[in-house]
Formats: sequence, C-alpha cells, structure tokens
Amino acid sequence: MPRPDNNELTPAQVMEQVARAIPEACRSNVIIIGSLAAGYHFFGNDQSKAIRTKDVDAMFSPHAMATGAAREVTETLLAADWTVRREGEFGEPGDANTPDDQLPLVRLKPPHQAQWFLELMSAPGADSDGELIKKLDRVETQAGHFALCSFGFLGLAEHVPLTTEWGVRYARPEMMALANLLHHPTIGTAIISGGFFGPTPVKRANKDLGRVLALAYLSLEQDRDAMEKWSEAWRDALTTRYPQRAADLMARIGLGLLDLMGSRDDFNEAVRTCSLGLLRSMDIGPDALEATARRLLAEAIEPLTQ
Amino acid sequence: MSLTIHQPDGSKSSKRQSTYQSALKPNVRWVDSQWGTWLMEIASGPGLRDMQGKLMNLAVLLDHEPPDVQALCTIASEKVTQERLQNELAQMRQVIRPDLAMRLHVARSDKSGENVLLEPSLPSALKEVVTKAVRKAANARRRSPGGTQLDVFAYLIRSWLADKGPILVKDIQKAVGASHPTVAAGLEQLKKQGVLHRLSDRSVELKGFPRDEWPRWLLATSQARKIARYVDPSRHARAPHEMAARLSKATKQNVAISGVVGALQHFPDLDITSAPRLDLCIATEPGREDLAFVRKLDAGLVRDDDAPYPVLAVHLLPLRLDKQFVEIDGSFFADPLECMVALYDMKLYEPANEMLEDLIRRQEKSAKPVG
Repeated sequence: MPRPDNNELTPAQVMEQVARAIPEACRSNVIIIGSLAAGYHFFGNDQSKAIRTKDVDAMFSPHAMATGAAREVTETLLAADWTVRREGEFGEPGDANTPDDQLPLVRLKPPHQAQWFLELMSAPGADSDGELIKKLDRVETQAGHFALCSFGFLGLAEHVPLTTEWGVRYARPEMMALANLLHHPTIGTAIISGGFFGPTPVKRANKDLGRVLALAYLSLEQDRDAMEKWSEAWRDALTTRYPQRAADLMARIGLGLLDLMGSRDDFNEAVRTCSLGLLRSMDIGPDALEATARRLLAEAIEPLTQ
Repeated sequence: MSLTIHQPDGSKSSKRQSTYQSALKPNVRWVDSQWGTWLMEIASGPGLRDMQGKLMNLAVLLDHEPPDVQALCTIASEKVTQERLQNELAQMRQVIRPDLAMRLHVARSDKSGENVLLEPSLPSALKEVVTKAVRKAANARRRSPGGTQLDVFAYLIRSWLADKGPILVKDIQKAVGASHPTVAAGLEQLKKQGVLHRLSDRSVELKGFPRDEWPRWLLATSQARKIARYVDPSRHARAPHEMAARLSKATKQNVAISGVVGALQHFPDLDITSAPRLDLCIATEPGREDLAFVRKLDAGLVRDDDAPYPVLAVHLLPLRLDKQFVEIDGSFFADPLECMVALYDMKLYEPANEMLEDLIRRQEKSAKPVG
C-alpha cells in the first residue's frame, strides 16, 4: 500500500492554502471540485491521507459572476508571485487576436512549491441543460487572455455545496459522482496520457467512473446507508437543475457504470486509477469495488429508474 | 436425503459386517446409495460445503465397516475443478485416521450425472453407478421427501420444550411428514436410550431432555442442512440487525430471523454483545429457493457457500418447517431450536449451551413429572 511522502500535504492543508490565496471578497464565489474536494471531505487533516492531486479545480459560481471573479483572482494571485503554468501542453496566455478555442485555461502555480496548481473553471450558465459540450468564456487579465471552461453537468457541483472554515465552498461527493456518471453514458475512447496514472494511457471514462466508485466507497465507509441518501440527493438535484429533463437523465445515470462493470479490462483500469488516486492510502481491490458498484446500482441508481 | 438407512441391528449388513457393529455404531446415519462394498454420497454444488459434510459422514460410517468397504462422494457440479476437489480430499485425508483416509474418494459429474470424472485407480464401472445415483438423488430432491428421523427428533424436542405433553404418534407423522416406519424407527431409537415414555393411547412424550442424542442430532442436522452463505468483499455490509430490519420490505416470502438476532427474542440474556452474522431461515421446495431478496438487504454481498465467516447465512429448510416460524411485531423469527442450530453452526457453543440450559430449566420448572 503506498504511503504518503513526508513532504506531501494533507487535503485540509492544501484547501487552506488555496482559500487563503483567494481574495476574501471572491471566496464565496469559489466551489472547489475534484480530488481536493473529495480528499478534504473524507480525509481532512489526516496525515496518513495526503493527496497526490496536481490540479486543484476551482469553479466560479454563479456563472454570471464567474468571469469577473476569475479575473480578480488571477490578477491577485499573479501579483502575489503565483505564476502561469506553462509546462508541456499548457501554453502562453493569448491576446485579443487569439480565438477563444486557442486560449489557454487559467492554470496558476503557487510560489515556492510544485506539488499542485490551481485551475479555474466556470459554473455552466442558466441556459445549460446538461449537454456534454465544453463551453469557453474569455477572461481578460493584465497578464493576457485566458479561457474559463465549463461542462454541462458541472452545474451539479453547485447544488447545495458544503462550506470550509475559510469561506470557500466545495462540491458534495455525491454531486461530483452524479456529474461523472452523466458525463459518461458509455466508455468512450478519449484517453488521458499525462502520466499521472503511469506510462500507459488511461481512458478518461475509466478514470472518471473509477472516481465515482472511490467516492461511493469512501461514503460507505462513513455510512452504510449512504447510497440510499445519494439517491434522494440526486433526485432533488436533477429535478431542481434540469426539471424538463430530470426523468430522462435519471434513466441513463447507470449506463456508463453498467458498461464499466461489463468490461473486465475497463473495470481493472478504473480500479488502478482509484488505487493511485483517492484510495491511494488504502488497500482496496477489484472485489471490494465491485461490491461498491453493486450497492451503487441497487441503492442509488435503480430507485431513480423505477 | 435418506435412501439407505444403516439399521442399528445391522439387518442391511452382511454377517461379516455385523462383527464390526458396536455400541458406538452411528444409528441415525445414512448414505445416498450403496453399490457392493461402496458407500456413496452425492453432494450438490456450487460450493464444497455440502461435500465436506458428506465426506465426514462417510468417514464416520467407514469407521464401523469392514476394511474392504470404501466410500465415494460425488459432487454433481461442473463448477468445481478436479484440482479443487483433490485438494479438498487431501485436506480431509490429513485430518482423519490414515486407515479411513485411504478408503475415502471423490468424484465429479455434471448436474445430470453425466461426464463422471473418477480417480484413475477406481473401477470404471463406478461411472455408471454414479450417474444413476446422481439422478436418483436429484429425483428424490425434486419429490421433496418427507420428514426424516432427524425431523422426528426435532419435533419431539420442540414439543417437550413447549411443554405440550404427550403426542399421538399419528400426529407426529402428520406434522413431520414422515412415513410410519421412519417415525417408528426414530421413536424406537429414543425408547432404547430410555428417554421416551410411551403411553397406552399410542402417544409418546420425552421423559426429559435427551442430552446424549442432542449432540448427534446437531451434527447430523448441520451436515444435512443446506445453507446459502454470503460474504462481503468490501467490509461495508450492514450490521445483522440492520439487515434484519429491512427483511419485511425486501421480500413477501416467509423468511424468519434466526441465529443470534433470533435467539435474543427467545433468550434476551444471550451472552453475545454483537451478532457476527445474520442468520435467516427460508422454507422452500428443494431447488426452488428464491434468494433475490438478499440483494435488497445488501447488494454488495456475494454468495460463497464455502465461506468460513459469512456475514449472512440463509438456512434452506423443507417447506413444512415454516410452521415453526413465530411472528413477533410483524417480523418472523425462527423457533429456539432453529436459532440454536445456527448458533452451533457459528461455533458459538457456550452461548448456545447457556440458551439450551435456560430452555430446559424453564421447561422443567413448568412441567409435571412423567413416567
């Protein structure tokens, strides 16, 4: 079982660093999503559960205020010696002539450490009905132009987020799980080749659906009835955010997961991403995550399809 | 299933065999079939638990047979590999006396009795015998056989614990669903041990708790019993009492709560702080058990009938035994005897014995002396 390195930070430490770096006036507009949100929720300040996440995803909400808040945060951080992340595929900021789809996303590194960087995103607009398309909004800063991206189901992270003691909020685990499930109704061919999960490319769907299983597993650690509570929370979120499409969305929540469970190779890849990610400090094998998947299907997903 | 009963008087044995009869001869033991000097048992899959019990039964029987008598246990399941089967036999041979161990053998066939795989050293004529024995056993299961001597004994114990007084033999026969010879043999057995009081009106009553026969009954009952065992690969299973609380919503079948959770209904002083597993009883026709409700208790569980430490054990009982279920506050509970069988299966011997002694004390306090 991999153990955290001594110099790794706990999720609470990273969350505190991120929150304190954000101007106080903007903190209530920030919802942390992804692995930091999950790590903070489940592990907090547990020294044995340091996280390996490189990208800390900060979503600005509501959509109408996202561009303005993102500009203010970017300029404040750059003034405080944060730097634009330029390595690898991450390019230079654009200018007024750069087309939106060629602008880099806002990725900022804090000074004097290389463990993680902050990536800014936007909550989808009110007109978003949960379609899978990626939308880009231009953010003009003194350092150049960037893009703020949003995805259809990212809006679910805005549903009744949880608060931290430092004023920023973070997405509920069940809402991140729901967004991932809806985002992958099948095991698509898109891959991640960043090296985080080792030299072999990993299917994005396997990584995201693996995250769903990890979130479910950790929730069940805390509460044996967690999946039933997820179901109720999902019903509430879908009928609130997508009242016209809620029934349709509920019917397809489990499709990707069923695909994953039907493919031994994909399932094993999902398990591998979990053991390198959120479940890194735990010794969780495929049998345990299969049991989790069955509980997820029977107690969270099936009640919504009936 | 009892196709060939080893009679206490040795009437089915040869003269030579009878010299091996002794006071220790197991009286209530049987095998599925006999062929020449071969005793044969048929175990059903998919796990090996049924086979383990039958191998042990054969080992006990062999101990009372001449040295040329051999025993073959066949598992009628293609899911068990030959290697696993041989490993099982090797393990069994390690823990029993060498002279018995080498007379024990295993075989495998498919469910219909075809494709018999035997150890190479065994006579090939056994294949045909095995095929017939598997079919016979399957037919017997389908016919839902009536009660056995074990059931007669259990019925008498239940009646005695409930202080029901003398019972007519014909009522025992009716309640247990056993033939007259089966009931008569069972009663005769108890009479010989001096624990049965026969009255002139063809009724009988136990004189007291049959302590000598009790452990033998427990062993034989647990060996004959089919239990569907479930494990939890993720260690997230609901606690036994939480699963029990979901039972009435999970199924409309009569499923009774047994084991520790059930025993606490009958014996609140049971000295167990938390139940290691949930035991349930379902009365069903053989092969027709519907266990789909387990998924509603906890969808993460996986069936593994060989599991030593399951989190859920569903005892599959003959259909007639649902009469023993007791309804309390909208839930069904197994009767004390059934709960104790589950406690012994979990090896919770001390609490089970305390419960038994409590039941005996209660009965003796309320009962009038007989005989």
